[in-house]
Amino acid sequence: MRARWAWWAGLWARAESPRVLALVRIFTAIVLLYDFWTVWDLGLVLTLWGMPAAGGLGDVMSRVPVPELYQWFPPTEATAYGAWAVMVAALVCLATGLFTPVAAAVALVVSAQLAQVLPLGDRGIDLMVRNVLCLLVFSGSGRVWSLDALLFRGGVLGRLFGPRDLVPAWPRHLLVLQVLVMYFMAGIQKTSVTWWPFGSYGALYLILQDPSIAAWRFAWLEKVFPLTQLASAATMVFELGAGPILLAWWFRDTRLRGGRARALFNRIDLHKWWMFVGVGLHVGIAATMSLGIFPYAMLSLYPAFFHPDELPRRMRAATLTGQGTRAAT
Amino acid sequence: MADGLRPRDHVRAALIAVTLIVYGVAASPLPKSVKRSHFEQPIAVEELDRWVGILGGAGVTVTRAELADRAYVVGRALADVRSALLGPFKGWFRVSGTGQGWGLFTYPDSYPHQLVIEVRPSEGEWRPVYAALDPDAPWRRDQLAYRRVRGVYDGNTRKPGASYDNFVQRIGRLALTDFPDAAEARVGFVSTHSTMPGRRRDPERLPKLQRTVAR
Repeated sequence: MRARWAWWAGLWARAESPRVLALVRIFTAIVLLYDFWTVWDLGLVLTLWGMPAAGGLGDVMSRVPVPELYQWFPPTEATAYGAWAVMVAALVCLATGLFTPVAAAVALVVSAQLAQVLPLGDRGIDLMVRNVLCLLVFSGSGRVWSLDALLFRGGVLGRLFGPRDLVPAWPRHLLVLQVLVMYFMAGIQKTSVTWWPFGSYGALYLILQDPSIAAWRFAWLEKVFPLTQLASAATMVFELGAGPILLAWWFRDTRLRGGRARALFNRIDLHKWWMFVGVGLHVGIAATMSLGIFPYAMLSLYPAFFHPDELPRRMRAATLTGQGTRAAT
Repeated sequence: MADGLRPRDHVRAALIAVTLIVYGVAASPLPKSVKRSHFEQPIAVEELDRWVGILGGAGVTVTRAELADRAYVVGRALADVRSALLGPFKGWFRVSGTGQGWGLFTYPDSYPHQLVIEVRPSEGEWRPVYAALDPDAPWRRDQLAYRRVRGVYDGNTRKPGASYDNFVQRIGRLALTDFPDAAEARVGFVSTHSTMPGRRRDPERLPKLQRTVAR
């Protein structure tokens, strides 16, 4: 038991370069910034997060408990705009890596408050992104490719935010686990028969007939129904395939041990093929459905599947950190 | 320490273990809540009928009502288990807004709703100004199709709540502002029935949840 616990504790005590999670931080923040810019551009700040008297859609003051945003600040238009502005400022800091963990924490809390103000306006991808923000708080992703790494090289700020060559590896591993669990659970929850052979794999055909979801009119899909069946089947294989990918992840981590299955998994790099299908799936969603940032936010997490040593040589070799460092070239 | 690990490594490992258990339960397919009325929705009835057919083909004879009853009993018990396990962490989930458990189109909706917004002058005919995916009725398409706004009206199609009233008032007033000749605006849905290719088509277009806002 003691040995197993030591193994478990050691598993989460590893360190690695912060570069991969820095990429996730930058991509995720850019996607979210685009989303919040869209809200502003469409004039929807008050509609989504304002009081009903100001045109807001939520019934925020009649909810129990009232969201803290409207407990701590007056129920005015300024509060809604203020929350939006704080969120955008936090995302700009997150993207540029300024006070990175603080920025991630602020974005997490404000996003959670906005979700409480209008729960129906908070989608599954917002929940997923908050999980990611929570991990970014602890990740050390701002220790490289960031203003933190450029500006804070000594003193207290340097210790808190400054450059590092190694950061804890567990946030990246938890992020990978999060993504795999999300896909896998999405797969096993698909109990509608239309996702299965005995339901003719008709799920995607039905989804694309829904005018709230489809990006275009898809009445013509009837003529290419087998293609939608193939796409439904591929979706199920991909989502349920997240389970074996977890096993592949483990085999990859323990590649020096023996075993035929381990050798096979590592030889074919199964997770990379799986990711390739995932990219295709999300590109397909982006092209055919009106799901906003969903496919882009998911794709922004995919770099986490690579170990920092797998990054292109140019991204690995240059360093911003350490003693006597130089800027990345 | 003998194993080379520092005390904080053990604390971290313990915290991660707790986190994985809690979020694992949250991610599991245990339902959040189950009501008998869930099994009366058209999409649920259609789904139950399909399962009755599949089970019948496998030699298990069961009626739709029996299947719904069993699903309710099992689902309710599982929802209670989930609630008991996650209860202590409710506060954290609320403040952090983190969590798990979304199905990515678990049940494709074979009875989809199309949002339709119409205006009419006094004593005139209704004229659609917005209808989802209708190129002839594109009024404020970008706002109405934006994912967070869509979530509000999509989430109200089965059981409209306060946010639907707010949505109707907000959109109705906007329509009356944008179309000065209109005396009334009407917000509602048209419910259709999508059938699989090769099956008999259901041409019915059923108006639903229509609300009128007068100038």
